[in-house]
Amino acid sequence: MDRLRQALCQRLPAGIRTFIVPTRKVNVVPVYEQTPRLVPKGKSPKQVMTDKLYAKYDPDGSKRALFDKTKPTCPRAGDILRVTKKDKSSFVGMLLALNRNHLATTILLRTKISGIGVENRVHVYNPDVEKIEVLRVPAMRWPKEKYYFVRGTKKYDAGDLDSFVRRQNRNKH
Amino acid sequence: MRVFKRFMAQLTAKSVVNTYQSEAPALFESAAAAHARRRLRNRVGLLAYKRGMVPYYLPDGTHFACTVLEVDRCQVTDVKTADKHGYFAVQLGIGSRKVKNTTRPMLGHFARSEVAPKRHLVEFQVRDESGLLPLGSELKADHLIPGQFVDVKSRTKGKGFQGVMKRWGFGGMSASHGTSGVHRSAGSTGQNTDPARVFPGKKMAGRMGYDFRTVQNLQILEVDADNGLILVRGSIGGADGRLVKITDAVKKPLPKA
Repeated sequence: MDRLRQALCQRLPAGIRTFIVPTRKVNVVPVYEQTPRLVPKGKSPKQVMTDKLYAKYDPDGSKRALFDKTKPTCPRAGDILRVTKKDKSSFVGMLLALNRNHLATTILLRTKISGIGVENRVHVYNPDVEKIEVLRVPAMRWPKEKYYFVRGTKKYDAGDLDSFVRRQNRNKH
Repeated sequence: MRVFKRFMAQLTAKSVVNTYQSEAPALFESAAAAHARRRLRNRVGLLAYKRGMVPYYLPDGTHFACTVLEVDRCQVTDVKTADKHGYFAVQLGIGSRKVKNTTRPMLGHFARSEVAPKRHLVEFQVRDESGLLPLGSELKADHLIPGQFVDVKSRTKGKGFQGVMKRWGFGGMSASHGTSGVHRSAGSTGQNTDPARVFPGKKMAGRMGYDFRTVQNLQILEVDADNGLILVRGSIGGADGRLVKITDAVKKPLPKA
């Protein structure tokens, strides 16, 4: 109806036009819908990449199971650990510190070789590290997360742990 | 002394008769020559967000840090041509933006390329029109090839107003010998009556950080197109969540597609 009125009105000369029919032109802008994000919902991109790398560096999940905080078998400072590398070389030491940082988790092992204190920091998820095993759990623990205080002390420092392992093996046979 | 004279008539060889005017090379100052001198890639780069760092181990046991980048719905929103804009470029958009937070003119811009509203828009200049991409085409993470080298540009973390020791690495002033209260000052900023001014560009205290920095020749380690993730060797400026601009490395050969 409005359109008809407008058309009729516009045919009249300008002087006779008595009213102006308001015109409303609506310019609709099409908006396209967002596609979902590729990273699964509830997971951070870093977590997705970390999981992917976990599957690569620890395919059977044994290392993740060993360092699972909720399990009582998780190594703690003061334990004696053996780290075996791919080339079958191994290092036995007392665990001074377990630095949890997801894929970058490291352990610090200390031993004495011919009377000199030696420390070795090992990246747990490094594929070069084949196996990590707990050899001995101490009867008594200090209420400390890090055992740095044992360094240079006579009483608490790690001894010659290689000979300790040798002795254990001799007793077995 | 004997003087040799030519008595024979000089004949022009037939092969020389038809000489052609050689084309004058472009002037060094001309726009075409300037464009040719620019180290422009003809392959469009990629936009991504920095999402944190993880370690990476090689089979031989060496390890290093690398950065996780997320390519979140990166699409072509516009192309610029020499005829209309004076240069060739592809405008990429990344992320998502709510419609209520997008202005009407920008909604029209996104509608033209038939893409959903984007959070960030960045241009990538290319050498000629063969490097342009159709509007709305999506660039996935596999635009980059594992093993190739890239340059990554991003804004660094802002440090606020900093003194000269932190900002420019000045040595500061003496701890003793009569120094009082100015131990971290810059010292002299110039000469005396002769210039009677401080020269422009003098390093002084001021706003530090939040500038564009390019890290060159970073290697792409892994590409996960399904999740839109890229793993780049080394570190990149800026905090997590920062927009980064990835291009093929200018100082390395282009990857073989």
